[in-house]
Amino acid sequence: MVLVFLGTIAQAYLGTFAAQEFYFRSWFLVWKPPHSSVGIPYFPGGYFIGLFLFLNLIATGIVQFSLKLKKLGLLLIHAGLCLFIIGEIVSGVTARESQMEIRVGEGVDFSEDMREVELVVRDITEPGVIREVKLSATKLTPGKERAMSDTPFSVTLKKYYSNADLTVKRGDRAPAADRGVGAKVVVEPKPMIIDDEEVNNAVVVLGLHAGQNSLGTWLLSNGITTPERFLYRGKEYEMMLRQKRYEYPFRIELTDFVHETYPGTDIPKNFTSSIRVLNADGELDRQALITMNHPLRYQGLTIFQASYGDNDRISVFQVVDNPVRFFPYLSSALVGVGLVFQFIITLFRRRGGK
Amino acid sequence: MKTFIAVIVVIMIISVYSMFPFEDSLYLEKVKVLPARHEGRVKPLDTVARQALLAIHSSQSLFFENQMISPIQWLLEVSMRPDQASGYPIFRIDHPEVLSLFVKYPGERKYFSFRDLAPFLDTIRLHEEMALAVDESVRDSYHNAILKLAEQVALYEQLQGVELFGALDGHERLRKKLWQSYQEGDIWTFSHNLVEYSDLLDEDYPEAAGNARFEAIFNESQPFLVTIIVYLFAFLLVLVFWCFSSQTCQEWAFSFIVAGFLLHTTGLIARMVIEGRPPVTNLYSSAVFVGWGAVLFGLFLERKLRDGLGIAVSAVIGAITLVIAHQLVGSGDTLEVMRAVLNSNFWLAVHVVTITMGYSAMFVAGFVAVFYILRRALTRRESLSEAKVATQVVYGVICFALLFSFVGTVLGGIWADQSWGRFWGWDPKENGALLIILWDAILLHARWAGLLKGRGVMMLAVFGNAVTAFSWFGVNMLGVGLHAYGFTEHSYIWLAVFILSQILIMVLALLPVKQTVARLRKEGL
Repeated sequence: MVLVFLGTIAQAYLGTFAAQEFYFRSWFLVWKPPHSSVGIPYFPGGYFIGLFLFLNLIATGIVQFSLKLKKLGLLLIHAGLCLFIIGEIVSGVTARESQMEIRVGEGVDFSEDMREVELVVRDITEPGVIREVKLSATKLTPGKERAMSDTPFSVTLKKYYSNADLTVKRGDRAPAADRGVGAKVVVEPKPMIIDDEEVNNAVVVLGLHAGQNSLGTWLLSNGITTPERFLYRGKEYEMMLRQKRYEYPFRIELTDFVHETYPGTDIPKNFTSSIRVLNADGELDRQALITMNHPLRYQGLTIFQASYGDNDRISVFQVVDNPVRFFPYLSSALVGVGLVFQFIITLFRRRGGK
Repeated sequence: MKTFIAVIVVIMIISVYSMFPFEDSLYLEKVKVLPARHEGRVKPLDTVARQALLAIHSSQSLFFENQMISPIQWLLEVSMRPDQASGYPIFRIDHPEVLSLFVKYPGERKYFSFRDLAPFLDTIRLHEEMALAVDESVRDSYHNAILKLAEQVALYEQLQGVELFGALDGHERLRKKLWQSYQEGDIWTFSHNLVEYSDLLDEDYPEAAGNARFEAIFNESQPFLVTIIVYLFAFLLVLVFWCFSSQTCQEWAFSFIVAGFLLHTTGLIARMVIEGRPPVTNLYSSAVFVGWGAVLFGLFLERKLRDGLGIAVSAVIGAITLVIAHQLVGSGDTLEVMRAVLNSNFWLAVHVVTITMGYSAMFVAGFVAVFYILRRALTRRESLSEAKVATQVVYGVICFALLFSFVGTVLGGIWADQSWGRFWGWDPKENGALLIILWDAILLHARWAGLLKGRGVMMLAVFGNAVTAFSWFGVNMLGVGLHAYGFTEHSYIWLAVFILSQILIMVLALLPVKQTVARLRKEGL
């Protein structure tokens, strides 16, 4: 009770995602004294309590286990509750949500993570052929050199800002980097955005190397859409920071997007996207309508209408990958059946008693 | 027989309300029921007028030169004779800093007309911009007051000269004549044209016109306000019954509760008919429904126990929730259209109704416990047999509450899975529902394990009131999460007061009392 209450209030201050991570997807609530990297746990977190409840339920189940019919209802109810807990813990770890932005008339085969960013280096020497290598920003540690596989390059992270503004360098303030855009700008760090709708402007400053040679210090941000370009040994490369992408063996094309409002107002009545799904060979696999309350379920993913943009010319979908999606349904069914059993048993007991 | 008489009385009260000659002119009665399209649905001009006046003036009646001006009259003036209307003292300003912008020595005066504020419009806009630049979380009362005033002024400006009769197409010439005749003050011609226009609309749009008429009658009759009066009266009768043990009083009280319930039901159904939706669609209708559900539970309780407790609980919860609903009227059209993500009658009917029935049950159990504790504390004695019965009642209702809350929450999870791709997201509203389930589970398990006896069950049930109030309203006030639909300002205080009152009652339960059916051993917690 206490955990849920605190975790709920905290959402107004920390934002829903951060509060959920801190209170529910953690073993302990920790307090970090200022200037210290050591945290002091002061209250059990979601995983701890969840596990505790789960073990409690299992223990009770073992101790009080009896296959008598009249206990069946209780058994089912508590088995279902166990499954709820397992489902929530597992989905907390394995579920993945991302967004897919598609313009009417176009198609995409990837979705973007709204929080994580990745470093991308591309070989664009040959026109029409793009060789791309990605490295997730979470794998970058300050000071450590990381090789980018299949390229002659490695990068060393010098500075990471989770959210920052870039302003044109004025006066004699030192620029953030010495090559590319970074040589002309200064970084102004900002507090992280907690609003679930907005994306943080992540900035990385890194040193680029090829073997022993240093190719300079560069600044990259997911807020800068033009990639940095450089040459090495006669080949041309592009480098940028963007939202982490998840690629799929299929392509979704948006043929139409309809945004219905109530006549004479801006109040949305319905959003409908007409889409076509093409498989890896480019053949039409599915045609569907995705609207509010009616997502598309395809290859284990759930794709549902999340938002829209650019005057109704872009439709934005949320893509949810949750392997244990069906758990809550199973748990609900178990508990439901258990409750019905219990109710019937109690009813009979009352009648019998009278 | 008594019930029949009670119902007749209620109908009489409603008729008085409906016929109260607010409009002494026939043309106002006629223009009130004209259909208009506003905020995405067709509604009578009466609703538009009431909403607008409420938004700008914070009240549905306007006084000018000791005369009361009705909403529809005001709307006609603002739209077609703005110069005249600009003299009405419609803007209410309480905040001294805001007042000082217009008046050198802010005295007693609180009401200002548009004409009074006209020279200061630029100042208002400037201060509005300054207030908007301040981050929402650090705004103080001055900022909020100036923003509110700016909003009201903007609304007023929009209404000046607005075309009232243009919502439904057709008959432009006639509409022009209506406009002209009213502007010139020629009420005779206006009425004449109005009758003609109204008849034409009835022909062209029979459904819209009929619905608008129905809704106007609904507005007039104020069924929920009358219900509050009936419930309070029934409560009074119950108090008399408890003081003087008059069986007749109990019977009359029951009759009036039933009559009130029938009115409550009629109002609820009327809303459903007008909206074409299940009973609960926004915070306002949830309040109306929670009251309805609680009264229903209370009636069953009274039939079983026949000791006035059921009536008392029904009356109190029914009245309080309807008063809360009344406070929520000011936040816009209570019959508003459903935005896209809520646009599903199936889920609204199934998930939302089940959850609100869960709230009703929680409050019924909680208030039975409240009355029980209060009686125990006031009379300083406790009958053990009655204690047993009361505990069983509370226990039974909590079981219902748990069932409804659990099923409702699961249904919510399924809806969320269909709509947002995840069954559970630790959203504040979801957490609120979880808190109710956890609390009920704690209560029930504690009783089964023998950790709690009568008094403990009562105390926990009372705390259940606090948990439910937090889950229903408190989570909305946080303003975050996917469920933040019914945001209410300044209600923090009321919620805090309510929760404190429940804690106080819990403490009262600890008072030692003389227990009849004398036993030397202590029973209960």
